[in-house]
Amino acid sequence: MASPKSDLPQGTLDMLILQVVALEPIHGYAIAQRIRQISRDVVQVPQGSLYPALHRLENRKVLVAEWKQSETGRDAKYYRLTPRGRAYLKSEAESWERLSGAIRLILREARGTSR
Amino acid sequence: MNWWHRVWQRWRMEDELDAELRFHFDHLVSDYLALGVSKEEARRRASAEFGGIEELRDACRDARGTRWVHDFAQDVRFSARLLSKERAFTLVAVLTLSLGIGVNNTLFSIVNALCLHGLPIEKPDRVVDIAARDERGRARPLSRREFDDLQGGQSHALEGVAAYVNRPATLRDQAVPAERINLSYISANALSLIRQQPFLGRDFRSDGDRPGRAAVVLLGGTLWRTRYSADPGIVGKFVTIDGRPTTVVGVMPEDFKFPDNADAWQPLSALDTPKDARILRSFARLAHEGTLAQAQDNITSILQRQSQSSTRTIPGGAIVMSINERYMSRITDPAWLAFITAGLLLVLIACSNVANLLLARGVRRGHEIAIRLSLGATRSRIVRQLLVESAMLAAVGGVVALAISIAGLKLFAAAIPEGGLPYWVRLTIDARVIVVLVIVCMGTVLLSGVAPALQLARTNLNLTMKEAANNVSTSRGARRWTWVFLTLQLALTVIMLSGLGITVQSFYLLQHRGPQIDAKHILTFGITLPSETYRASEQRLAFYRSLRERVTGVGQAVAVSVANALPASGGQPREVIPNDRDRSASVPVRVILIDDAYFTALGLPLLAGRSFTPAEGASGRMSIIVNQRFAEMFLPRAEAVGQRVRLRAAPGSPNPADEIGTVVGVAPSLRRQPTLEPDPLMYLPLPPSAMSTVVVLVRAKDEPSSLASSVREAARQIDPNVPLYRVMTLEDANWEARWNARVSAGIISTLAFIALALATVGLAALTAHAVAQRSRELGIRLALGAERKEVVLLVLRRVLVQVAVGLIFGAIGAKAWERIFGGAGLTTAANLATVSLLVVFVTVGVSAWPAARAARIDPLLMLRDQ
Repeated sequence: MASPKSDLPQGTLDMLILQVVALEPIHGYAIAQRIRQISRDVVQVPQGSLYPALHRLENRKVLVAEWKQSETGRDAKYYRLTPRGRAYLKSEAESWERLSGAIRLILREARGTSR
Repeated sequence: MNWWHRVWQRWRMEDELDAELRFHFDHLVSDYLALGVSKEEARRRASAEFGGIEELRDACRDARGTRWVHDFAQDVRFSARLLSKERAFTLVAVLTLSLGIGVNNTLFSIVNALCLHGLPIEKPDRVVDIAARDERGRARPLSRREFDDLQGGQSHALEGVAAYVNRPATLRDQAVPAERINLSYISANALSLIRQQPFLGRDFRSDGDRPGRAAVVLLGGTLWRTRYSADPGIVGKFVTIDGRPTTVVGVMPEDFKFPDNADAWQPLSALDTPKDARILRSFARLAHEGTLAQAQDNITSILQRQSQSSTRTIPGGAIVMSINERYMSRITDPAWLAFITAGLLLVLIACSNVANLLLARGVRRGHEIAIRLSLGATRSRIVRQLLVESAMLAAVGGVVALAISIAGLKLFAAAIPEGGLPYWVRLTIDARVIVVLVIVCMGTVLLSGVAPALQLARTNLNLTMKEAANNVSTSRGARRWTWVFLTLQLALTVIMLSGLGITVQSFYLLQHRGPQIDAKHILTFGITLPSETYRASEQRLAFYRSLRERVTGVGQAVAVSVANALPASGGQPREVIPNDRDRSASVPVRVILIDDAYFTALGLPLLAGRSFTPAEGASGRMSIIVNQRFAEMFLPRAEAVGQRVRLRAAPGSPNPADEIGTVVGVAPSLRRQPTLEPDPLMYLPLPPSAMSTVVVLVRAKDEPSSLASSVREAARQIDPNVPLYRVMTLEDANWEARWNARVSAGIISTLAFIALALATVGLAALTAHAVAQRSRELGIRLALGAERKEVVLLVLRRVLVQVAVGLIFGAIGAKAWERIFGGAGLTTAANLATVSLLVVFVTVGVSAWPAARAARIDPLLMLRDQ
């Protein structure tokens, strides 16, 4: 089984999940699909990381879940952001933006001086 | 689903998890089907992508945060199974813990009842005690004038101010002989301020506080039941109190004896006393929004306003404090702190013992732990499981301890004579006691369980697995811990035994050293003269005189004396100024007022000087008899008779100047209580202020019990309104007066013996364990020609070193105890030497048994076994 952690930097999985859930209430399978589609198959979230992460986020009251009928007619567990989750996502996303901007900057500058 | 639901509805959680994962799986399968592969192929690929389903489930369970609960349940089951298998170990550990915790819990229940529980009053923290403050900051009773001012003072911080005076009185009616009762005179509002209503009839509110009304009384429940056989029609009937016909207006509930074990109550207005006599104790209830500080300010300003207008008051203002604070024993007193500390030390000893048992058992379990570690258990999980075992021991120990402390409280209560404790003391196990019990139990888990658990979890896998299962050598760490715990145990045992040492010594001194009274042949009783009929001192003296005359004539009576206190208890403290040049320093010394026949009645010849004469005290010059101890402590010259003694004015005396007396005689130093040194005492002549409550001592030729009825008859002939009470031999009176010392002795000996027993068992068990461990080495020694005696000594040498170190730390501990809590004589050489001998004798004696077993090792068998 390919390790997802080698693909995703530590701690970013939670953020991605939250970002996807933020759009609309959604079940686990769809979360995995959505992340893969949006990232154009670059990021693949294996079940072995996805579900523990969902349960952990639910336990931290960042997500809440309820059982609802899915598009195929079967009951599925739908996750939804709590207000706390929304605030958490916002702060995580901001700090990620800052960090990735900084990294990009360093890469560009370093490349410039080495040239 | 919240956390609790997740814990309790684990099956539902699991179902939901399964459903969620299955949903995902089915979607994957249909995704692959859509790609056009066969059904089997789609399922195979989906499974491959899904990975290990059990691992995934486990990871989700971990993420939920309820996992430890289930682990915990598993640990409990496992521990219970282990402990029930090792019965001997479990029994000893539980017994040890329950003794320690149980005795400690008994002591705490006593502290709780006396120092923490407080009075059974509605919202007692809103009720405050009020006293006047004298020049030296001490609390003094209020005068009637001050109390009237407080009541009229309209303080908005107070709902109302009440007062009371306790006076013994004589109760008489047609049916039964006269009886002495504890009467409390209370202001009309007193009962309503403490929110207490009569059980039958009415209280005094409608009588008001004005004098001159018809006399009324409220009976206490006990009096009503015992004397009037719970007559429901008692209200409205007449009784005679101190010679006055009085109407019963009500009956109070049986457990209500406010303020000080009162049997009955009369309105304060019935008490006719001078306006300026400082006799009133006062209390108030704070108004709805009043605070203690406001009350203090208000009361102080009212009292000070009044003190400017009157010369008979004291200028210090008021002392206002919570009524519970005034009544309860102070838990911060060294005596109570020592009491609590002693209990906790016993718990500590029990914990050390259990810790050592666990360490020794750990050696046997090293193999099991090693296997569990090698099978993948984490060390933290192992520690947790070991702590669960300790917790279970503590829990079972706690339950047994509760039973022990219930029994202990019963024993304690049975040792206290009636009226020995205030009425509000309830020797019960209440919520606070239970909470403390639970905390102590948790503490024992920490103290006894943590070190062994950590030690065991450090098991070195490789070493342990290589060695034979039952021959794992104790690691150095475990041995060090064992050593520390044993030293601690022995040291604490020494402290407790040295406490027992002084107790035994002082009881021995009381009974066998110093002057002794033939207490069997002395009859004592108390008398309270009704204040109505015996107003003047001369009247009272006349009664005592005729009582003495009549009783002396009766059959066996040889000598009769009237005094204000028995030899073993009572007497007022007076301040003695030992140094004429520095008059600011003074020492309290008990004073007993006696007549001329006191020492004759006791059969105690004076050491020097003379007894009082019958006319002593009438002249205005003060003669004093001191005991030998007083002479040693305060009189500079060898010849005591003729020396002067300076006393501060008695509290409440109209003349504030010092009094100076002359020593006319020296009495032998009787020990009143079991103490190492007798207390200094002064005897003053009774006559000038003969009080209305006295004790009478009658010396008989032999058995005094036959005297009782004729003495009663003699008293009845003088005045039928004067009952005798507490009629008993001096021996019995002494026994009652020393209940406190006896109960303390009982407690300290219980503590000391349990401590010694635990330390001995602990040491012996560890010696046995060490012998078992060293059996191979000892076997080799024997095979190589060592003598059996040498082997025994080899084992005992370790025990001796251990005990010696324990004794040294014990002596240091006893010294520290003496510093912190007092306790003279604790660390005298003789006391410590006796204690040390006892400890060595007992511990080494018991350890000799396992040591002797070492000598019986058969070297051949031993070596073949290995």
